Amino acid sequence: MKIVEVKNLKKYYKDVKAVDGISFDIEEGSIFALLGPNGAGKTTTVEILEGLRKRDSGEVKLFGKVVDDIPKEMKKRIGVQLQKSAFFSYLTVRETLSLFRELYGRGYKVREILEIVHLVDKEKSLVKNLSGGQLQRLALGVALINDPDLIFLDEPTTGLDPQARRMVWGIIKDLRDKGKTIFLTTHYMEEAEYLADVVCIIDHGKIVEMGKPEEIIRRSGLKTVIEMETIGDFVVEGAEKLDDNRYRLIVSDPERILPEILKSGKVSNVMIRKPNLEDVFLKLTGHSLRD
Amino acid sequence: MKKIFKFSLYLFLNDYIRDFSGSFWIFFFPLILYLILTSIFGGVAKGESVTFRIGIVYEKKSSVFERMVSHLKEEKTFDIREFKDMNEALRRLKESKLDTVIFVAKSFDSSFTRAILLARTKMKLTVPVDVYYVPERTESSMAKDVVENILKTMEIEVWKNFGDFRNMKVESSVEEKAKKFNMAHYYLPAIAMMTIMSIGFFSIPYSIAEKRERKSTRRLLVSPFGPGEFILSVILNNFLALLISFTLLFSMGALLYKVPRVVLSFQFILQLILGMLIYSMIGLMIVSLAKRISTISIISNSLFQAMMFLGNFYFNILNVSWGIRWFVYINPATYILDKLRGTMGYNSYLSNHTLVPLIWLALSTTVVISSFKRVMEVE
Repeated sequence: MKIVEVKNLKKYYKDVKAVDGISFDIEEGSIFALLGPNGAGKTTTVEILEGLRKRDSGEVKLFGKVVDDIPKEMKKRIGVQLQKSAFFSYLTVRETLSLFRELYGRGYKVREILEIVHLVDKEKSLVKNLSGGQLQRLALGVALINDPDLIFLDEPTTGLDPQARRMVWGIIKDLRDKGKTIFLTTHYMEEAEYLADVVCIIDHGKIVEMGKPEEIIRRSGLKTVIEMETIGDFVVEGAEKLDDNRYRLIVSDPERILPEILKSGKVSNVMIRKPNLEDVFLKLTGHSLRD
Repeated sequence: MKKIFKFSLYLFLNDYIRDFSGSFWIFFFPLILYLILTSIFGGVAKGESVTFRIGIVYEKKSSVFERMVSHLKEEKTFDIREFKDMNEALRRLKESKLDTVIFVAKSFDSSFTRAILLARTKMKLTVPVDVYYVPERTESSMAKDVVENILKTMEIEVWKNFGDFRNMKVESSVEEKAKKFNMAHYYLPAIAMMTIMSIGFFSIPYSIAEKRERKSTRRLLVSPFGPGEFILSVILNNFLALLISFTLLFSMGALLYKVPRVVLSFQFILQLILGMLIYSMIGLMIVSLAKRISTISIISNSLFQAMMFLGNFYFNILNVSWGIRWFVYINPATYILDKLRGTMGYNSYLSNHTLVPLIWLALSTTVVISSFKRVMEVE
């Protein structure tokens, strides 16, 4: 069953085409990742679906119903973690979760959520005293408190250290295993690749590719990626500069190119790997996800 | 409704119980200011009545006027002294040795007699009495008010004696009015109004703007809790804070200064509720017109200071030049405060106490309704 259906969605701000005619569906019980660089239109899209922004044109269906203003009864079935959402500084973690449970009028017990997001030991801490990672987990807890069927997570791991990020990934996977439908936006390629059943790559408000991560990579025709560090002012022809003296080269015949590079004697730390979504993005758009 | 009530309790916990700055400005600062004001102006820390020092200069001895003020001399509220030289009396007034000077012209007796005679025909004749005071001095302004009140009462008495109210006693009325001039009592409504204005100009707009800037309101918007419910909760939370603040203030007033029970009367409470409604709507109007906290801060501070100092709060400013007096008359606080003091038995300077406040209420409500989406930044 399709939980979310979006057709030809558009949102313009004067001359800026934030969302420019995108269409996609999300199946029940799956993780759908909207992947793109900053400013690609991810947050605008998710905020239209959450009811925070009005679309200029197009159609949005949630739970099979066309929606303009999301009715209260439907909001009770939706969980939301915004990209930036501060809670009340002088309430404790437990009070914050209780407050939102009260607003939704349904959901998990506070204790259960504290366990899911690993904040049991912080339940009496004031929100203002939480670290960035703990705040993100609280935001995730608030998104789950109403036991939603559809969960929107807007860049849930931005700013987290790798350990905290892994913890959030684990929680998201568990939610999918419980049958929840998750709409995730991210600019982390590895996050989309690790979590998503379907990845939708977006750039400048348009969808550039969509499908299962491995399918997208296969369709791209990319075979091998060579990353290397150069010595001096040596330039590898056709390579993309990553930083000061690091380059990336995407090739289909590494056995021909690699000996030539090594023969120059001006490269070190050569790494050969399989292509990932970032490489696909680079091929499709001509720039990196981090640009 | 249950959701709104619970949400406002959480807000109250967040804004007033755990945040010291919130509780300080609304619960404790009014008490501190009340103590300071009553201690500085009038030396009435023990709640004693003020003594008004009145100088009288007769151009020619007036038996009528002397008889009228004779009973006042027995009251400790008044320290009445006669002066032969007008300049001497005015010098003492300037040196703060007197609070007011009454000049009784030699034509007083004859004018008064003629006024009485004409009163039978319902015609009015002015009896000339000059009252000198120093507007910048609170005691002087208040003494002038008392004298003005006595003279008005005399005028009424003349009319009464020859009209339909023969049985009323003017003496007791005059004494009662004079006794009620207690600085601690006089300042209490001003402190209550200041607290209402603090809520309207600062607590409500800052609370919403801060939550808006930190994106807390957006998180609420995606829940089943609507923008209207959120705003109602903010108002309810602040009304609860005001209720506690007034309880503390009136309790202190009653314990330390024997503030009369009239502050618990329906009329008094009704005016406070009207003030709370008006200033809540003004606060919402500010937050709907200005987006950033810094802009809100400028607007709120400017209006708060202007409305407080040009609202007859602590000094009589109804006699300032028309260049700024116009603001006094368009200021809703002036009317609410005047009515509050009127309820406590003080002279009312103004006649219609509802028109200007209701215009403000209607105006601010219209602006808030028309730009409601901007309050919550709903697209």
